[in-house]
Amino acid sequence: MTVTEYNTAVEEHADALFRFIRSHLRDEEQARDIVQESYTKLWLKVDEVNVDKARSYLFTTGYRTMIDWIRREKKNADFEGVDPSAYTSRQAEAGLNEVLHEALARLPEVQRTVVLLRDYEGYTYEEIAEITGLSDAQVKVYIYRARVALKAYLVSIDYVI
Amino acid sequence: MTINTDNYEAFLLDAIEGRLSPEDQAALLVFLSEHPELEADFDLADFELPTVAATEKSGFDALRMPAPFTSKDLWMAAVAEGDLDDAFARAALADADHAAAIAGLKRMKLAPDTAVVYPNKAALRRGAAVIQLQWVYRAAAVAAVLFGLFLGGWWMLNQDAPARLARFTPRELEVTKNPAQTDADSGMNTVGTINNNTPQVDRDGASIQKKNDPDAPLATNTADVRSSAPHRVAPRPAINVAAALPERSAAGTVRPLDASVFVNPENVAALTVDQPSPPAKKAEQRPLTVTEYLAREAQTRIKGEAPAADEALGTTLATAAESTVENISNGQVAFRRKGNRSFFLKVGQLSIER
Repeated sequence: MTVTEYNTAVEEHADALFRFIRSHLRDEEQARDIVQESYTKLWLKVDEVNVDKARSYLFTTGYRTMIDWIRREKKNADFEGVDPSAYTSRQAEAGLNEVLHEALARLPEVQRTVVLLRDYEGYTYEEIAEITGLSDAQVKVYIYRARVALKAYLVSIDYVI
Repeated sequence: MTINTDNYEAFLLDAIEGRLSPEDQAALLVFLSEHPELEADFDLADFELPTVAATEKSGFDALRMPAPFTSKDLWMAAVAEGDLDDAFARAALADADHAAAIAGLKRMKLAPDTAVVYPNKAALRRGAAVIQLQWVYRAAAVAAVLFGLFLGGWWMLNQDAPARLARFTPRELEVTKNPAQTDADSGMNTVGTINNNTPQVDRDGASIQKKNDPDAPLATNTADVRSSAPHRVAPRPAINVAAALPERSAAGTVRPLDASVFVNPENVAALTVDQPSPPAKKAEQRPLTVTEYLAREAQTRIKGEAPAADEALGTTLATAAESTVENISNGQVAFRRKGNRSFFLKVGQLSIER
């Protein structure tokens, strides 16, 4: 990977990686740091990483860095303590996508990751499996569960779909 | 046996091991579909439940549920994802309720907010300029380290010299008179004198002159240099420094210098003679100047008559003797060498180790 290709990877993937991390953590500052760290790691291996694998490398590194940070900070992504009824006042003006993102925060970490990679980036099951270290079947099941859980959440807050 | 929340784990275990009858398999799948919350207790990806053969039910419910789906919801989610073939989709969508559920699941797709962008991409970019700048940084870092080492070495060298010189202490120094040596060395070195252009010396000299006690024990002679050098310090009774020369009491030992000559500004000011003594005065028993005294002492030590430890001191004293006494303050004598390089001799801290 050349310097030019690296800079192209910055232009093409930085925003997507930032959105993925930010949506997962809901912490913009930390998301910035993780993106920066991911690109720093890519730069250190710029001679080894093929340009075709740059995106996958970035998301894999970003995902692992994020998981490390979550474990280090013992930040529990469990939002079960949030009262779903608190969102009902917002549902009128909030679009489905916003409500889905609210629901996303309530998913288990692994489900949130696979859904974000699937929906945001359009990754295949195999690519998601490679990034997350799961099997293809696990990725599928987690995505299906996430869909069902999201739908159940929307039903629970009487969101009309 | 009816499957319930108390015994379903046993059924699951049998199902995993393939020991479940088709009827019980069907009952287990129905039970799990009715209790999706129980799925969280199992990592269903680790094993495959036996599938249920088509029964008397028709439509979607009659289809064999592919592994690893254990609930109708997950199955429908797979249909919504497009992961199952058309036969499943058609069968599912044939039922109005199933079709509505699948349609709802299809809408559970997240769309990224493209307005959210990474705020500082420029910081992520790299380039040739950046690489070159890295070399500049590295070179600057190396230069800084070398400069630090140079400063450190310079500091150590300048710390070491006073440490070698700091041998005299006023307590060890005593005044002894030795007129014979004064005669012999009276014209030895008259180069080094107090620089009377130094304001502090002038001020000190002026104030000292007013307070000078003519009966002071060290004031044994007067050197009137005002007539020959009007810009110099006013003459005052000089101290016979020669009288303070150390006497060798035994081989290998040296008497200490007279620290009081240096630590007392009044005495040093009185010693000042900044011009070579005229022949007429040379004939007289003129007291030594500070530098003459230092030169003499240095010569004695360098000759090897003193212990080795004193030779270094002698060398330094020789340097001092060739320099101009610039200032005396708080027991510290400032010398100015040729080329206007100054150095200090803290007489109050000097001592000779015997």
